[in-house]
Amino acid sequence: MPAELVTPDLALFKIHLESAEFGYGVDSGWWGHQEESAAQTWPYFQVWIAAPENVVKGGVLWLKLELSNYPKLAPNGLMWDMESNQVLAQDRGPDRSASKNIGSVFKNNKRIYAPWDRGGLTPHPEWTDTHKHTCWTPESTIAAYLGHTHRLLWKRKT
Amino acid sequence: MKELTSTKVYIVGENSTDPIRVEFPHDATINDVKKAAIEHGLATETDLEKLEAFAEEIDESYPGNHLIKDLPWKQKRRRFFCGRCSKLVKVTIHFECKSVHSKFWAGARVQRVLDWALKELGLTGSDADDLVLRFGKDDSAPVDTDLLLGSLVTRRGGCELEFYLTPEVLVNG
Repeated sequence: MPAELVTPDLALFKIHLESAEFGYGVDSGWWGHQEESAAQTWPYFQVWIAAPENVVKGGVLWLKLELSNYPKLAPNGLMWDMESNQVLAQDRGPDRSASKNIGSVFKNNKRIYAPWDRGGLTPHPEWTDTHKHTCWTPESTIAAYLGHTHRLLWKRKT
Repeated sequence: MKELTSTKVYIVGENSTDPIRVEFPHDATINDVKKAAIEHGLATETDLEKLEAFAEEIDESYPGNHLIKDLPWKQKRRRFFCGRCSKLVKVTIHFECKSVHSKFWAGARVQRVLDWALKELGLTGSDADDLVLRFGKDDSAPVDTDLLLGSLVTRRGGCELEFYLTPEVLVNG
């Protein structure tokens, strides 16, 4: 049986999946991931994030992350429909009226337009200075990515 | 055949918001949590009698021999704060020209403080939308509302915290 080829990005990602920070989110019911191992689907990996029912129908937002060159490059997330195995239909994404920040981050209803996602960071390199607290850096981990997104989705609308 | 069970516990200390993860046997006690906190360098106090351990969102203290599994947990995960704060943390919130004060148990989450502050300051609807707590007025990082209050107390300081309530703008445009 040939040895599994583990690239440096995958090796580090697997370590981060075993971290206390990531496990804390799993045990809290905040997020989870696909059944297949990361090696089976690399550089893609599907994760889910719990969300309020009034923000995301069904209470769960699935993302398909593209993770090549992790963690040097930020994950590139696509909102994903697990049933049809394709990008989430436009009307099934987060309710953009839930808060100003949710409206901004999910404005194109397909990608995550945020400082912790490659889709937002690539066109906005200045965010590394202007959004230091949430911006992806090579020291960031998948738990931080999920934490930022989870926190955003649960931002209470009073 | 006797079932082998264990309890996964997350522990934070003073000025130590990243939790450590420890697997305890099912009959572990609060003293076991304190010992783990000391072993992992989360606590400067090494006297078990003086070191406090507060379970997340449980506004009550329990003796060291109390079983972890018998605490009235409100959520699936098991998280403790270990430190010197005896029960209550004094909290001050500044919002514009107003300040409000209260006391919370060291095991309370920051979310509870935020909820209380918004209510106390009469902020609802769009006025409360995207407001966060920070340690500074402007560009300091928003305090994660999941953190336990005790973990924000500095090892050198007293059991008091001061926050500023300000809007958070994640992205523009």
